[in-house]
Amino acid sequence: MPLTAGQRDLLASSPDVFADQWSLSIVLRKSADSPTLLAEPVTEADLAEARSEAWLNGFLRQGHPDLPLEAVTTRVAPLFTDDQCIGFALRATGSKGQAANGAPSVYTFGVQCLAPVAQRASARLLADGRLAQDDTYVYELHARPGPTTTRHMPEQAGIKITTRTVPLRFATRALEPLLTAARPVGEILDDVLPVIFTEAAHEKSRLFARRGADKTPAVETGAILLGELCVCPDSSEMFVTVDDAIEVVDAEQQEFSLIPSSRSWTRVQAVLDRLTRTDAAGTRRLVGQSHGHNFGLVGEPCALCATAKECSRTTVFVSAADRTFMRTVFAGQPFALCWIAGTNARAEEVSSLFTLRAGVLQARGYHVVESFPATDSPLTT
Amino acid sequence: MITTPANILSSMPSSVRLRIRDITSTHEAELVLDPTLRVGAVAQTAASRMSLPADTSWALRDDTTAAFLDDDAAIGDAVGVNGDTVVFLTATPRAHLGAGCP
Repeated sequence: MPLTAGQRDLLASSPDVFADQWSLSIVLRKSADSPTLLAEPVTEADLAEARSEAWLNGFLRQGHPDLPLEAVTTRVAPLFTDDQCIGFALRATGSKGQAANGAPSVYTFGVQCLAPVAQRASARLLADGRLAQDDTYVYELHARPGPTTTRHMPEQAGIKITTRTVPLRFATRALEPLLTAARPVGEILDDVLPVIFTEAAHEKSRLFARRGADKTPAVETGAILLGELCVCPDSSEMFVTVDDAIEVVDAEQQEFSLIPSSRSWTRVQAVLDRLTRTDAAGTRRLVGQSHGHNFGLVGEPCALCATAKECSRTTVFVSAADRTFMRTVFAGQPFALCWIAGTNARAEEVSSLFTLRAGVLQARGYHVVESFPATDSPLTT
Repeated sequence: MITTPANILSSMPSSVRLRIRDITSTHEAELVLDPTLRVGAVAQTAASRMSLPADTSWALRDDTTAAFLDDDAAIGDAVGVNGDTVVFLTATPRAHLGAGCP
């Protein structure tokens, strides 16, 4: 997320904050005043999504789609107000030293971005009996000078490995004409990565996500989204298009979960392999997923029901499982899309698109067009 | 003393060659490894080296048979080939979608 004025002042008041190394930890307590239950180190891996988001916003969207994630180095610094650590900032620097605007990119992240660290710690507390199943807890971020914790897998004898990250390939498309012809869905925020569905892909995403709502009991169903990463030749802005959806079939469909099987993944992989063989430009790829939280909300309507124009009590939210799915299936892909359908307390169908913003999958608007024109030649990173 | 017949010894590969990708085909790894290593250990090591989250459990899926390999099996037995053939696998996270609870 770009810096707010207050955060800029915070960093300006301590300009050398990035010169030091900082070690972050999440401290859990039963309540704000109670003793520490556990201090869980924030590891390099815990910061991976924040780092990839800094890469997205600082480089891919700033005219540097050719810069791979591995070429970006980041420094972390805590954000303090008074004595409280309210989050952290990442300064991202490319291999050529600077970002497009001539200055290193600095992005800020709130404590909420580290919720998975708190969940990991609470799971351990549950396991050793220091927390009970229905207990609640609070967590806070602490920072002290020192290197960020790194947990490497121990070296495995008897394995020789060489790895590579496949370069991103971008289609070249003018963004403005697409947006002019598109209809907006939801609130369009200025600073988020533009996302454009075709009408057909949008309807398939919805259809596959909501298919399970017709079963008794309702079950979760969904799809993998296909599309392109694009770069605009006029503005250098990067954006994502969605032009198809592959239904997740042969999955274990339960009331509150959708578990892809080996056959589900094989079908997705077969489509991806076919795309690789037939897509001459080589730009089409998996760009995200859609699924339905198709269980109904139970209980009486709340007091606002009679007066509120829209009902905000919905089943559309990013669960811990959704977040884990996104950060594992789409690892190192901060542009990946999480589209969720469900119902509100009035039993009306609702849906939302979530993408990474300040290290958290947040709801945001997007656009839908009838179709995309043919692209110019692809750009490979 | 128990001895292994010479014809069985000669059929056992001294190494296995794998090419592993992730589901989105963004990360790839080529491995040459001891066939007695357990599939689960190979999956976690490969995922970690491929910059995939190491705090998640990873399974290996055979691209030819579409079957998940048994974590506890020796990789040589699981892929069942000699040292010259490259086996294509996909690293798949044990992750699911869904609300988990209402």
